[in-house]
Amino acid sequence: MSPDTPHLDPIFGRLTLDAIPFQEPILLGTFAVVVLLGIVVVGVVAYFNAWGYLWREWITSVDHKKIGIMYIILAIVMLVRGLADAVMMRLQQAMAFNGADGYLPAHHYDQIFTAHGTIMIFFVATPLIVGVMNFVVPLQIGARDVAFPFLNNIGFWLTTMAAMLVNLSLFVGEFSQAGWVGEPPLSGLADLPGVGVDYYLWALQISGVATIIGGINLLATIMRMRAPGMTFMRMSIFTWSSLCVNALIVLSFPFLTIAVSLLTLDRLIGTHFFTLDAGGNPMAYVNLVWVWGHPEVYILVLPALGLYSEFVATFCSKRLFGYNSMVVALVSICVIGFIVWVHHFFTMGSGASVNAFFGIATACVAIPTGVKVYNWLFTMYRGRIRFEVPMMWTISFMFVFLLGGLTGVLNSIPAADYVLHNGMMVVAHFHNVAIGAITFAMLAAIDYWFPKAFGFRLEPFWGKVAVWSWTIGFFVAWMPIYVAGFVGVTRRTRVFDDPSLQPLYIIAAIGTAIILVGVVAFLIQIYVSIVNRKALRDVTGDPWGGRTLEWSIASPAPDYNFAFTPVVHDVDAWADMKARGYKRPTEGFKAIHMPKNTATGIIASILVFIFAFAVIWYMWWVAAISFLLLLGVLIGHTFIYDRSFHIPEDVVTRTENERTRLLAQQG
Amino acid sequence: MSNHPEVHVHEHADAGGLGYGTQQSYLTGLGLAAALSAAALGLAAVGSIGTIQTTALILTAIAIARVYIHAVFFLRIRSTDEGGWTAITTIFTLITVVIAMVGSIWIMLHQEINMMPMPGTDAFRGM
Amino acid sequence: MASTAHTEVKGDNFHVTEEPHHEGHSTVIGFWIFLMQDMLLFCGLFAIFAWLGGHYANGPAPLDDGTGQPLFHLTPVAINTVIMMVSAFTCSMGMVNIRKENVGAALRFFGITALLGLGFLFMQYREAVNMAAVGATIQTSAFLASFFVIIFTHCLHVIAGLVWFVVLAVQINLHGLDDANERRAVCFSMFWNFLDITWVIVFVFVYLMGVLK
Ligand code: HEM
Ligand SMILES: [Cu+2]
Repeated sequence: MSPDTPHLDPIFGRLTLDAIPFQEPILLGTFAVVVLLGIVVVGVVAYFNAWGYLWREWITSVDHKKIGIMYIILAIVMLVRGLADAVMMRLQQAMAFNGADGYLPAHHYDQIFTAHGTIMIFFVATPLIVGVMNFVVPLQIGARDVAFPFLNNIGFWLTTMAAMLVNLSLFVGEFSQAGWVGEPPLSGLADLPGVGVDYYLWALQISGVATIIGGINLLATIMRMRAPGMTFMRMSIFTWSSLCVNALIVLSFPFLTIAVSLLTLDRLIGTHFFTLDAGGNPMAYVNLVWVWGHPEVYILVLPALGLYSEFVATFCSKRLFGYNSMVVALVSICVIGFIVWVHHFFTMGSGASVNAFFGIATACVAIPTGVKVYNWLFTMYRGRIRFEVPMMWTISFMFVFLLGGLTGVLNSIPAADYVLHNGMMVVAHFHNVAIGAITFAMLAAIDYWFPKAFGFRLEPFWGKVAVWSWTIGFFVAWMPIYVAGFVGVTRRTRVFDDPSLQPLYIIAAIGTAIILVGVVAFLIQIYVSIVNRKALRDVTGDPWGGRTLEWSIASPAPDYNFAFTPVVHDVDAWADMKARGYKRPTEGFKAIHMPKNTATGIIASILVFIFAFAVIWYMWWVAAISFLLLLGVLIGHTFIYDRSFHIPEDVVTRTENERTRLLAQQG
Repeated sequence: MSNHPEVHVHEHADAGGLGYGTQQSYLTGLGLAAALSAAALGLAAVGSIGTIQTTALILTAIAIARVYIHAVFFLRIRSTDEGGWTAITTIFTLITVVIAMVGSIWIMLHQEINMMPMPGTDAFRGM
Repeated sequence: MASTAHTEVKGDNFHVTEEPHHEGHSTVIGFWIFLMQDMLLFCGLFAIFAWLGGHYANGPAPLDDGTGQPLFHLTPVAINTVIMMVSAFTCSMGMVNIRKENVGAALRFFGITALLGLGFLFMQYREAVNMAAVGATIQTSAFLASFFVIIFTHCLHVIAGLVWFVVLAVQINLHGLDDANERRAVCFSMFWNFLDITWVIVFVFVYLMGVLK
């Protein structure tokens, strides 16, 4: 169907009642649950009469800490959605042997793996790292806010709206069936004429733009807002990785924007970039999307590696071993990360010389990565390791990541990749890293900074249950998949002919169940800690014996972060301050200049959502109106000149006196 | 505290820098840009000097010179602006541009040699 | 640079008591980063053009639009190059006057810039119409798709610049040349200069290289 198909409804475009999947019991059930949950949430908010509070304190907030927390909440919600997809696939694959067809038709199964991949990358991993960076980086560099607080807010809301588009596709229409990078010609109009790919493209487009916006903000923040004395070589390794990652974001996401835009044009107005006729070439898309795609992989993993550096140093009570080499390793991973993208399509036929270059470059990434692993080990060597939950995640990560890294090098050999490409070996490898490095790091980070965000620690028992379940679950779930990969099973496969594979998939399903136990344990941990929050209260603001500036302030961090901007003399500024007998100032507070909240972010994002939905369904008039409104809102926003206010001196004094009192009580 | 310098647009104004050149520099820039553009146009209009490859190389050189002149005389990018950050971000961006362009073209050339021609790929163009 | 590397940090003072005023101090670098990512957007388009620019699909080509006439006409393109170049100059002259707090002259120069921008759009519009007349549209072939998408993206930028000029003029009229408006003017001129730079690349790599024999 093309935009000018005659039977297109002038009001609803191609949206008809058929788009709502009444005939699919699974979807109807999900829909019922979502509606129910929605009613519960609305009911709770209404019961506590919290609309105003939510609006003022969260939705319109430009406070980097709150935006960070909202990103993380979004990611956790979407993680549950992504896991539900994973469980459905695992069940299907465990069942569909010996002529059985399983319970998912192909049309549905293909949407599920696409949705799972898209959600996990764009709406779980990315918001998690952006959220953690947002929360932590300004605190670690001794800043009170970020360079562009409004952009930060709108970046979050755009990401959320993109995630909502993906979720909406469950109930209105369908989702893409073309895999998480949506490669043509399959994703072209000829093969998939429905709305699925359009939902996918617009979700990616919006979240990509949001990520760029967020990246510009954090980049400028790190460049321009570090506390006095915080030179480059005094920044924490996590801040360093954030700097690198945001640079990577700004440098690579434009290529995604272009790839996605051109594919959209192909589908929307019938151009021939990636079609099979009129000179188009799908491989141009593949090339462009992976120019972005590989740096994206490092965008996800480098913050994780930065986090582990923080945890290792803190929980061994030592300065990180090899700080300088850590920085060099980081930067070189970023640079090398830009010259390896062909390893995603060695089999495309560029020939030996191209493949050899990109293969060798890929293998080279192992060198700086190895440097990092050794630095962590040397930091732990003779350290007095405290086995708190974040440290347990770190140690588990080291085992899992070693395997993931080694299998990655294996994949980097073009000759081997000709056998492994599009197989379960690759899938096992990237889950090895996605779970063992990225997800573990983020769960550890939540545990680590939770007290800074909410003022009380997370109860460790359930945290440890989560660590063990995820770790054991990971091995049980993915080792069989490695085996399947080595015997040549292809990925994205719905039914199997060879019955000898079934045990592997049953074991994998059991492993997934164990991972689910870990997820539930994590949710229980949060619940139990909220109940016991009095006992778990973090009075000192420094529950772990931290080394960086965020631990020098109260928990939860006050709105203005630092009553006085700190002056930095060393890496691990707070450890240095403690060692030199720093006395916290208890008087002389001044009013503090802060950015004002704004509603433009959410309003504009909702308009973007409506616009995208209208274009997906060819409702041109809605698209036109929402676009004009969007333009009006954004231009209107530039007419707001009064964007900041002062937190009055007495409020600051009161807040800080409260901390003085608590500290004195503590003894 | 005096050791806490604050960067403000007005200070930039005094020091020159991004977006602030002088009329003199702009006129020079305009003149040089016009000369280079005319040269490029003339070259293409004449057809080519020597092989297409050499002409293309010369044109590339002219384009680079033209962009450089613009950056220096109009934008007034200097390595000290914004604490050196404009220069650093520009360099990294240019590196990325080179990597992406050279890489893509290299991949494309080899792919078109190794693969069966696709319909519509009638004329081959090396850029 | 702000508050960091150059600060003498001595002894055991662990905090400052006087706070710098941060508002707007990151605008210029932030906008510069934005322009850099914009440059990479164009880089993506050029990569596609490098890949697909030779795929004429037996349709119009730069030197032959199917009737034996060239598709690319250098005269209007040369005129547009001059327009962009001069507009970058007038825009910069606007900045000279902004710096002298000479609001009227600044707005006049920006106004000329915007008019030149309009002229540029008109020329591009004519080119597209003429091409469409010989059946060369964005849907015709991969070559034309990758060609037009570059041209249209550039034109979209010019349109954005025009809207920006109008908004800026209104705002300067409302609030005078305060710090915020001055920052906006700086960014506007950076943006417009960036447009000229991209046009140079389009001019040389798309048009001139396209007509090489
Ligand atoms: C936690 C448990 C997880 C399980 C059990 C799981 C399971 C699966 C399964 C069964 C597939 C389809 C494999 C196939 O092609 O046959 C898949 C694909 C994928 N997963 Fe996961 N996954 C998990 C977590 C994650 C995470 C954390 C990420 C990323 C951050 C992720 C990213 C992906 C991607 C990108 C794909 C490829 C989708 C495609 O083929 O287009 N997964 N996963
Ligand atoms: Cu890769």
